[in-house]
Amino acid sequence: MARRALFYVGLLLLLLAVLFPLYWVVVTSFKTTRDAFAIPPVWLFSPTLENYRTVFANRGFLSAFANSFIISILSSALAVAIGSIAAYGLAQQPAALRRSKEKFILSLRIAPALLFVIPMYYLATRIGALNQHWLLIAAYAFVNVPFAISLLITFFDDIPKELRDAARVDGAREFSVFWHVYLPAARGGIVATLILCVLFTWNEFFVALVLTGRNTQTLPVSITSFLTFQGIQWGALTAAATLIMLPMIVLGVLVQGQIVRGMTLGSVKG
Amino acid sequence: MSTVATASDPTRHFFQPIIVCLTVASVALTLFVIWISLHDLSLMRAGREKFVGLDNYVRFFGDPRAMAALWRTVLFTTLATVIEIALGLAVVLFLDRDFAMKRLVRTLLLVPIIMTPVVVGLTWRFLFDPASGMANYLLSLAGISQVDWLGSPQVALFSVLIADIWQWTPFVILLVMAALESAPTDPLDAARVDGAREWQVTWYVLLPMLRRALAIVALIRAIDSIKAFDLFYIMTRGGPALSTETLNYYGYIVAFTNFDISYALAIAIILTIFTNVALLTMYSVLFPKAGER
Amino acid sequence: MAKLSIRSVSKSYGAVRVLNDVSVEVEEGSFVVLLGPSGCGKSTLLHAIAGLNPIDSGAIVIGERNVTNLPARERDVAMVFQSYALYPTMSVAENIAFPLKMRGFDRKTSTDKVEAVARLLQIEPLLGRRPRELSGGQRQRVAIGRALVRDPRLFLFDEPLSNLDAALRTELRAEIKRLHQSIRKTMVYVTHDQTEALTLADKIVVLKAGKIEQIGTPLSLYDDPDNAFVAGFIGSPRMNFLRASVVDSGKAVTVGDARVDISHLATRLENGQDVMLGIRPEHLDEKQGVELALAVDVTERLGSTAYVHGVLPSGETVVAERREDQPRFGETITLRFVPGRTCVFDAQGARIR
Repeated sequence: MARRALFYVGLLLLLLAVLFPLYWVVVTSFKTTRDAFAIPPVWLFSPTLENYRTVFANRGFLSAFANSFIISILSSALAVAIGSIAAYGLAQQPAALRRSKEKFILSLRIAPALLFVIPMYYLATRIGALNQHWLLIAAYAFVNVPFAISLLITFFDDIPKELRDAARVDGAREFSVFWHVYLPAARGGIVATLILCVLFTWNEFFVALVLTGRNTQTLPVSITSFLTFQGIQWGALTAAATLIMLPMIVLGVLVQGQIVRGMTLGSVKG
Repeated sequence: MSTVATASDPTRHFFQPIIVCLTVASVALTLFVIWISLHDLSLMRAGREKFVGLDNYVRFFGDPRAMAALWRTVLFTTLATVIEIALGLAVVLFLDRDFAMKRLVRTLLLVPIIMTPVVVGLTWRFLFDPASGMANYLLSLAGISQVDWLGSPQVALFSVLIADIWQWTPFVILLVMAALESAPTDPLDAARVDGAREWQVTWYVLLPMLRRALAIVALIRAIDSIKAFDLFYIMTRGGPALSTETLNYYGYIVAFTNFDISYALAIAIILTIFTNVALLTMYSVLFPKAGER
Repeated sequence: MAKLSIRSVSKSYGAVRVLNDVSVEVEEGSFVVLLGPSGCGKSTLLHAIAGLNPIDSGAIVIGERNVTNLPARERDVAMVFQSYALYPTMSVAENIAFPLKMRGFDRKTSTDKVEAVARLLQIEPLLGRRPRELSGGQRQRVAIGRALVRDPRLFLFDEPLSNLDAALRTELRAEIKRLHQSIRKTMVYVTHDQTEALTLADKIVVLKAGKIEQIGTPLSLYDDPDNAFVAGFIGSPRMNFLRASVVDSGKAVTVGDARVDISHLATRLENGQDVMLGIRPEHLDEKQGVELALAVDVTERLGSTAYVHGVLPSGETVVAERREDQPRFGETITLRFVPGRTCVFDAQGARIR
């Protein structure tokens, strides 16, 4: 009995360590500036929406929200569309060929972003594309395609090979097999891949920091504008932070089973 | 006997165009990057670049700031990987039993992983605020004197490390947990029947079964730690006194503060080579027998 | 409906020859079973007929059409798979209609045909369901319906009953037999189960390691096998093989102390030649004939009959059927057989007639 109690105490401490920082940010976003900086900290307070008002009054933040939304949805949809076609083709190949292509795709993900962001920035400044949405959509699609391929292959692998054989005997052309049989059968995996791409793009900072201009700033870049030289507006900052991460936490919980799989890219199977 | 012509496999048309595109893009990019790194291209004076050979690479090894950044990257990566794996494994073994709300705990562990890294950085910067942060408040409750978490060159790197550990240990936990749950339980029972004590079961049977998952998660964490950027940018901007400047961050500064993109790309190439060497070394240590499943 | 000719088909995977110069003629409307142990190439051959696997050499002709280089969808064959291969996201009706949809049939015709097939297979109540809501037997019926619906020239079955339990297997086996008798279409059926082969086939093709061992009717394979492999593979329990050596200038062989007359064989063997004498368990319980003493090891009682496992004085193990008595461990019994019911094989396993 004592052991059991000890276990639950341990569990509680673990959850506290994991969740407290998040809790503290969300709670602070509802505090007045005075409450936010009170020492000792204020645990009970009358909540205020003042910080959210500040954030929503900030035009930059609102347009960043729209930018993040458009860029992550479009680049992810593009990546999943391209990725699913390629993944279908690769999933049908003999192991040796497939392996070499998968290795190549994986190797694309090891290089630091710096390596392709600098030349992209250089070219973009020359053709004046720095302030264009399509530049970011293309950049993120380029980053997401290899990821989408590696992940989707694992979902297509779960579909029995006989389905393709059956469809071919039933008179389907290769594209019909893909469209009528494989795509519907892998629907769950495709949605999960799409969500993971959106999640990644939404959260991505480095590429956005370099390649976004004033009109294309995404949320993670825009939030740094609250870190001003005059000091940090913690109230507005925590409110903005809450707004940024909330949709992703909802999405993430929706595809929770796939996240670990997605982040290891099927490398678990070897 | 007629010889049958091998019909062209239509599935190849599905992946080949994309693989070709990716190959062309990566080869072109690599060549371009190498070309730039052999010149002295700067955004400050575009169009007046000239060929400088390996000067940028030579410069790197004589640049004390770069060498310090390289060393810091090694330190940060090693510490982050080792601590996250050890801590994650400990938590997995601790949670390895049936209890109410196990599913819920798993979902909650997901939260740090999917949190926007920039927000994670802000969160910890907030907690580490020297005057009104929670960290120092807790220390004061324990009667320990205040720490200047992000303002002290001796401490700052470790403060960023704490944030990294907070965000990524749950990832290690979830992955190893999944491996643990898909592992067969019969060998554990067999060992118990054979008279092994619980710690012996864990050490001789369970851990070897988790070795592969641990090795993979270690590789993933090492790759990501080498490239870590967001936390550094948000929490310290490489400061104070360059004490948290990693190689990746230094490359960013060289490119986008000094606009010396040739040198920045030389740094990026060295970083890539360094990453690959580190990974191959790790790989051969973690998977000693070639072809082992 | 058409005849099928498989002409000198060979295929290798790397260094492994999975089909070695295989030729089979299948008459119009007949039921042919490809039988063999796993890895013998029977499924590869079926997939080659379907056009799912390209072959290295040889030709496949359906009716008068050489289909060797045609893709699967142009061969006009239908196939039923071991794993059913139903499309998980489509309803039963959509599954059955899929081959029609791919061939551009209009909705009305398609619906009518699906209903007709469903009626024939008695799966009408299932039409709106998804495959995962069906039992194994129902799934295989749907798969058969999908094959039936477009009236193909050739039906292919790839171990369709292997995933079902014993009772269902018997039931569906009979149903497939009935189906063949009513529509009289050419069918090629792959199995490793000799009972299925013997009950279903007009003609059985026995394969081993990519080569045809024998082609014949079920009865001829059982009574008159060409070689020790076929003799051993068909019949359960399997045929006993005893070492024997030729005496009396080829008129007889000795098995231990017993002398077995083989003067009915056309081939004259030489004295001292080593051969194998094959005797089926059910032929060891005659009233009179050559006698062998068997030390009983185990008796399997199957109700009306029993199989006795035991050891001959030579040390060879033998299984014998026993209808009257059921001996126990340790007893010694006398087995009797008629020389005319035995098969003689040479040292390489080829039949000596």
